[in-house]
Amino acid sequence: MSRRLEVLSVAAVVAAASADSSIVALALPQLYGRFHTTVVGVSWVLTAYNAVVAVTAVALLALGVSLRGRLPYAFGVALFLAASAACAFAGDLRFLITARCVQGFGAAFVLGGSRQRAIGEWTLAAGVGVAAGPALGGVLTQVFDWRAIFLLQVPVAALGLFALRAVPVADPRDQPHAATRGAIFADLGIGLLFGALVGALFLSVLLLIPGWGYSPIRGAAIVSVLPVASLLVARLGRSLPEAVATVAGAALLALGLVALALLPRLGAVLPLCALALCGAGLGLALPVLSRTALTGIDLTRDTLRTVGARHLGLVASLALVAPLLSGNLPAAAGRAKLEAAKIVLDAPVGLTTKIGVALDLGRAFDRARAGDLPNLRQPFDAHGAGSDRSLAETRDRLVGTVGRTAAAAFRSAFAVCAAFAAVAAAIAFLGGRRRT
Amino acid sequence: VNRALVALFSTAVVLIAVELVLAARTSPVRIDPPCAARPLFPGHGVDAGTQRVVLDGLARAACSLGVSREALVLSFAGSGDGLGRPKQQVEDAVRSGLEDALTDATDRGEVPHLLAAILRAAIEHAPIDQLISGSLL
Repeated sequence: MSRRLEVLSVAAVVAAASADSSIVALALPQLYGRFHTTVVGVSWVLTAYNAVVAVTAVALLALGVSLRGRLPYAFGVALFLAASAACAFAGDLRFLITARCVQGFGAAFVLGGSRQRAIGEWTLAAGVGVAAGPALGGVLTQVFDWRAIFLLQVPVAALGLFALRAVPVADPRDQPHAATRGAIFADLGIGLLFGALVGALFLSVLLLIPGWGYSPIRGAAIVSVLPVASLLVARLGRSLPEAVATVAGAALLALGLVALALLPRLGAVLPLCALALCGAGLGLALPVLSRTALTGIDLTRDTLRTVGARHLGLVASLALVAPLLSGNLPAAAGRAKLEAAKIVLDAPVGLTTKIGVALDLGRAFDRARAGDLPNLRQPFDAHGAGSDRSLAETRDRLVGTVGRTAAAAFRSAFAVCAAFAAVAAAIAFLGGRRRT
Repeated sequence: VNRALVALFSTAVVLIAVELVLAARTSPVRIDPPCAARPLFPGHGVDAGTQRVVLDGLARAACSLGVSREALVLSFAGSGDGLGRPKQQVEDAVRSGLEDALTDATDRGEVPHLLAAILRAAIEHAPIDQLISGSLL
């Protein structure tokens, strides 16, 4: 294996471990259906991984465990590989969550053990992983199955295992060093921004795919605007003073999440714009915070602290928004059914058509209750909405109404995520003022 | 002041403003209270007349049960959570509502007396869930 290929292989494993949430988020709607679970249940697929990464990173940091050399990295990749295979063949949610815990334990060693060999290379790898994550997750889920997401991680991890030479044995710059106040605040900011990211990834995917009935690929295409916008503003971020980039980035992320909370109707344009703002905000703030957190003096400890902060932020946010959403959804589903019934009852269409559409809609709602993606357009299209204007208008009104009701159910959860970003902006603002 | 940054924040403010305007312009689907007065189903001919009778009958039944018309329909379609009332009480309310609606439609001259007699017999004797599921949902 050539040296360049080895570096790329290790980078791919780092990307897979870093971008796990952005890839796996796209599988959640399907998992929700296949395992007949709740929003809280399915959120544990993400929470378990991130919680174990965070706890392991913090524990390694507290215990002063050295992750120097290739062994910790190799151990982490081997665990990650085995757990990925176990996830792919999981027969029930409990097994999947257990395997995700093992995967997270391995990932903590991968992320800590690879130790930002060169900060730029690994950060780039993580960035590319996050950018490609939603699209990759969406395509794999729609073309194959949710299991394909985890199956793909197996060869990636195997390549990373064969490319051990690319992992440095030691880093001459790695000197024991207490974390600076700036680095601690930067980690706090990173944690809060990743908490806010839960809204842009987890909530958006759940709203667009099971909520609005978009296909995984369409949902992934919309969510992919987030990492793309993040990459596009990188140059702008470099041209701004660090404090300005951090405050502005966190504030933009908060505004983007507020825009997601206020989505007034179905359609790709508004979520695209809102997610682009979220991406731009992350693209401005995160690089500055990462540079401040990773001082380059004690990379092992810096990396572990940052990994811990990042994943703690994700876990804290998931712990807040999943029960909130789970509590709102049953009421919203009940309201949506009543609204749909009213629209169909009052529709200016013939009785025979109305009966046929209503029966098919009832079945669609029952399928949705069983976990499948609801396709509320199909009953209308099957009964001639293509040529019947009244029926097409009824279809659009019903789909729009159900979509609005679904969006309203997500409002408070998006607001919580916006609050994470707003707190990050406030802390960065106060920190910036103190420095000046 | 960085122009790109100003443009980004302006976009955010405009986006939120557009969303608020769109939300204000959208008329929500309002589920009427059980006994709210509602216009009869519009249109002419047998189809519209039948729908008027069924919808009016369901509205009357819902009123007497103290539930929304939509909740009543969903309870028959199997997609609702049930009304929490004895099945017989619901059936009696629906039969009574449909009979009253049929009487009013006959009085308005929309349903010929012979057809009204046939429909009345169906309302009195047909299994209620089949009557509703088969005729409307």
